[in-house]
Amino acid sequence: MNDQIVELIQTGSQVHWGVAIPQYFFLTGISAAAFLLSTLTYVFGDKRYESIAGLSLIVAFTVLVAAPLNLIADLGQPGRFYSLLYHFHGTSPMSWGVFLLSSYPLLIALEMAFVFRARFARRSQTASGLLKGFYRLLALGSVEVTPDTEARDHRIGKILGTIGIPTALAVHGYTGYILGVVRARAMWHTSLMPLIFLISAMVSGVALMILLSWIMVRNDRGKVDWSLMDRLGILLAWSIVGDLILRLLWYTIGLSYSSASFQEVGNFIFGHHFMEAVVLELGLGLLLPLVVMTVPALRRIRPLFILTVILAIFGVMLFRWDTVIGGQLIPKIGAGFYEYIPSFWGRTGVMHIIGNWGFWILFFILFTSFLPWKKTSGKNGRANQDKTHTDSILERKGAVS
Amino acid sequence: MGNERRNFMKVLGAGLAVTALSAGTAGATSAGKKSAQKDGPRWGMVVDLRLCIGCQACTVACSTENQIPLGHFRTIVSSYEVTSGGRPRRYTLPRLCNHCAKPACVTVCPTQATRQRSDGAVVVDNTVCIGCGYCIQACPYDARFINPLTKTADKCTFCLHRIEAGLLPACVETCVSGARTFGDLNDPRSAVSRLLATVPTQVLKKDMGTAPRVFYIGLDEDFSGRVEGRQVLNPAGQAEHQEDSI
Ligand code: SF4
Ligand code: SF4
Repeated sequence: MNDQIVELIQTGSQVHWGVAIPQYFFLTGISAAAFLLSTLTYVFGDKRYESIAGLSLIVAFTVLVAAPLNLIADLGQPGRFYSLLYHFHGTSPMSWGVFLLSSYPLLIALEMAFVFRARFARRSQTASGLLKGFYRLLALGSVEVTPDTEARDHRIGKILGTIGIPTALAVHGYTGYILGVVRARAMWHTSLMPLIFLISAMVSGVALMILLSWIMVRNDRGKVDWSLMDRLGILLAWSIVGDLILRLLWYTIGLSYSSASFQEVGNFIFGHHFMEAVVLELGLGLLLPLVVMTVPALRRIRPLFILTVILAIFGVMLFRWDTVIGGQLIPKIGAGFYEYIPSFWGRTGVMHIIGNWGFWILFFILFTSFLPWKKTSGKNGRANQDKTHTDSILERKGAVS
Repeated sequence: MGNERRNFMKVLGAGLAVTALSAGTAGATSAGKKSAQKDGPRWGMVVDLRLCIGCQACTVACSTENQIPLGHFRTIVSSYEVTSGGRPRRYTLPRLCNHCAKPACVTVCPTQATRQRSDGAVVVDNTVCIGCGYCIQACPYDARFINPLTKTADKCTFCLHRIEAGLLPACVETCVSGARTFGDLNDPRSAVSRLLATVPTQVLKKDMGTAPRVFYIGLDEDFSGRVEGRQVLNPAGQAEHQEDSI
């Protein structure tokens, strides 16, 4: 009816959730994925991932300590964040989040305590003075290490890990839910969102664990454990396949069968934001890693392997960005698309995120240098939770070399 | 209805206008409240787009009345240049919080700082709000913002402080053409109810299911949702940059 509309005055708000939100979503995703990886060993008893199980648990925990800091700092009234606890509102997914965010780290901490207890107990036996008491404390006051206590630790660890699985899924799933319920934003409003978030979290989490294994985990001969890396690479590939399937469902149903407002989303993703959303995020972040992980000849080019793993991590980061920030660049009432470039300093600035990463790295270094996460083997070879684990180490000593 | 009366009162001067209007429109609602409704009033507004001339007097009155920080608005008149059949014209659309019957902002607020009063007004308790901005995301009408002074969510209150004093909202009272009519939707004799009963009205983004309680007369379909067009000026965009420096 109208041939042309030029918007002269419009005050529609722009990006309210700045850099901190995608960062927070990214980190909770890493945490959930790392936790799930640790359950492969602690709950499902798959010994092939044993050497990174403790490390995964530490990643899951430290990331979740760092993530809310950034989130709280992003509130208009950070001092009031505690009020979320007693102003519960059942219809707001953000309200549930507080309870998840408080219980999930406690759960991991408790699981870590049981998983590492025997090793702390041993340390307290050999340490002296203040350190002895400290290790004793970490060993939950019980410095005894017998097959019985180890079996008990293992059992409790397994129970905590089992409870942790739905909790980890919820702690990250709810972040997707936060976006999914917002009908006013066509890009966010899909019930697939929590699932897309979870599967892309697996992509980033597995990729990060590959990177950390490459840096920190060595096999019995002191070499990078490429057989472990390859197995994780396959896991990464499967996660990417899952991610791509969900994307396919989301985009095709949205573009072909949804309301007109999703057409705008299509124009945005496949037009306006093509470089970020399609070339970088889908192409370099998902497809290239998928190809490299599934073609053995390519996978064996180790620098390429590591490079694509890093790309996968950045790809998911970019996905969080493109979804949270990108979703807000499509105006609700105004014409055209908004542009957003974060500031460098300040509450919504890039430094906020770099600082948050700094926090995580600090926690991570602290925890990994202090907690006995390394698979102990060799001279005092029976340092794991129970007999089966000891056996597995012995088996692998033969198998890996 | 009372446009002539209102214009006349503009001439008479603000003081008299306030008294007369409160005895008129708002006064009628309080009388109605006593007789007709057990539920009390349900506030609502009708904006007659045929009358709006896009002068932004409401924008200014609201900002002054409610001391809204620079670059933010509780109400604004969106202005467009529309060309149809080769002929350009102006289209103006006053926007404010719709005080929806099913407010999306209330549902998502994690602290219940945003809530709906029994008279239908959707309000923010800025002593409870944590400034998370979830309500801003959820509102389909961009009716909310984070007030850089209080660091909490802010939006139109229908000027409750004035209504409770028997006055009309500042935007309604200042409107030079009488395009904005405010009153009790529960009272069939109120000016809004009579308009709704006699003139076809529309709401913005009906498909959002929020059931707005701000109604429009003469709303062009092209403007009821996201406006497809070219953007030449965005004061809010400038406000984003100002925010840190305030
Ligand atoms: S217009 Fe927006 S802020 Fe106002 S009640 Fe409706 S959803 Fe809430
Ligand atoms: S910004 Fe305030 S009012 Fe809005 S959802 Fe958050 S806590 Fe509620």
